[in-house]
Amino acid sequence: MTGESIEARIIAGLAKIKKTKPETIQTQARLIEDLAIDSLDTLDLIFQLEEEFHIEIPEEHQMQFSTVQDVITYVHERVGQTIARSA
Amino acid sequence: MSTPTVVITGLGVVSSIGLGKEAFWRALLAGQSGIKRIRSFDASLYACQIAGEILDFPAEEFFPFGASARFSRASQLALVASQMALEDAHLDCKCCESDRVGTVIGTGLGGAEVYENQLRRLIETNNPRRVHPWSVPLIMANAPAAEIAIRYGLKGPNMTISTACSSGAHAIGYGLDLIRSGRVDIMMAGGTEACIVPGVVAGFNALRALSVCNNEPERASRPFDKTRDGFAMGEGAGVLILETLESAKQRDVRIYAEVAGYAAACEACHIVHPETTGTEEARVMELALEDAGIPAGQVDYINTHGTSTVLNDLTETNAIKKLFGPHAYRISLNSTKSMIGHTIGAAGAVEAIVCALTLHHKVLHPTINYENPDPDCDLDYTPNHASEKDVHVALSNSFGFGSNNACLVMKALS
Repeated sequence: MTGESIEARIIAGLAKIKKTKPETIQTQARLIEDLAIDSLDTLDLIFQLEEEFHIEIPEEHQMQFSTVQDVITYVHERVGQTIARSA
Repeated sequence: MSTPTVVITGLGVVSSIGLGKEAFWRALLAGQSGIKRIRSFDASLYACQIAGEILDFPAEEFFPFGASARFSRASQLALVASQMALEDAHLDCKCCESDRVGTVIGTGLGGAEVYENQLRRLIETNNPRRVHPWSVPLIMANAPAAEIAIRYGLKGPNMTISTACSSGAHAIGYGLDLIRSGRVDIMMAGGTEACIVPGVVAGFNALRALSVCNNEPERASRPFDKTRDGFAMGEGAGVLILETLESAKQRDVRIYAEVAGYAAACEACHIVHPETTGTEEARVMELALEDAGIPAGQVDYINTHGTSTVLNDLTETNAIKKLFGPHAYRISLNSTKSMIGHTIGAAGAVEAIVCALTLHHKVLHPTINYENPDPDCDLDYTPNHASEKDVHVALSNSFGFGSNNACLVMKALS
């Protein structure tokens, strides 16, 4: 799984949640302030990430997500750990 | 303050024989069946393998960028029908006092497909975290009405009526009552159903309510025909704009018909069977005519509940004869379900749209597949061909599981 594909897939997921085109979502965008992600959207995002990347995201980790880049970085790390464990 | 006259100024319909009132009406007059073999899931093990599905529903056109995932199919159909109705009525909700515009939608099953899909996920994964966070807002029966109000900013009463097969008719009746009460000026009233899902079809099969005419789907729904063997399920939605005559005149818009009366009555008899002498169905029609202040002898058209089950069609025929006496033989009847099947919670609304179009165009659509007269069902069911008639007063009958009966009276404006 390449870094680019993780970023593209997360942005595609966010675009689906916001009912918009993926190109309108920038990695530096803030989830709440810029993208107007509400609490149900956040749950939707967590659900999508868990499904898409076969990870489980504990509640306490979800507090770290401020920007789109935070989400991408987090998924990178978690997916890396999963790959490392299974190697 | 006198009770306001309530009129229909907008129609939106989504059905297996056409999207929008023009396509729908054209198909009805042509006697086109929307019943086909089920495509949305593998029904090969089911006794009934046919239904009226909306195969060409352009979800992406109405809900771009995958937005359809945020709505159950019942909500999607209702949202599209409501958009059509608003456009037809030339109604811009931004120009209305939004708390004087309400919404009432009937549905029997709400987001049934979402419930089934999520339950399947839960069972297959044995992991509650795999149930989607949007499940409840999609499944809940009041989602279609709520989504309509959210989309158009309608801040008046927002209600959902669930009385099985009569939900759509009761929704229109409730809308009429609210406008008459003076609490609102305009109502979006209708019904929606997306019931072609495995568990629901299996359930109706288990009740032996469905036609098993699998080899000739388009001939399966044959109301009042002697060989009728059950109904065909259908999906669809119908939404009407109801408003006061005063409001319609101020806005200078087309008026299809007046909603002159309505009655709701419970048979308090059996959870699925009708009271077979027809006394109860006659009673709801009589009450509706009383509410409208129209003598029974002035009725010239009835859009029947006409499901194509042995019991329903016989009971409804008996009820009409009981109430109208010899005049019953002068009334034209038809069954919209002969073409689109039984759209459960949407049926009463879709059939009210048919009444409005019939009063407007003065043409009766046929009851198709009427080939073998039943001596016990001997009224004029408008068999197989459309016919012109100067209809002035129309009834729409809806009889639901749970002993829930509704009758709407519509009339042409003089």
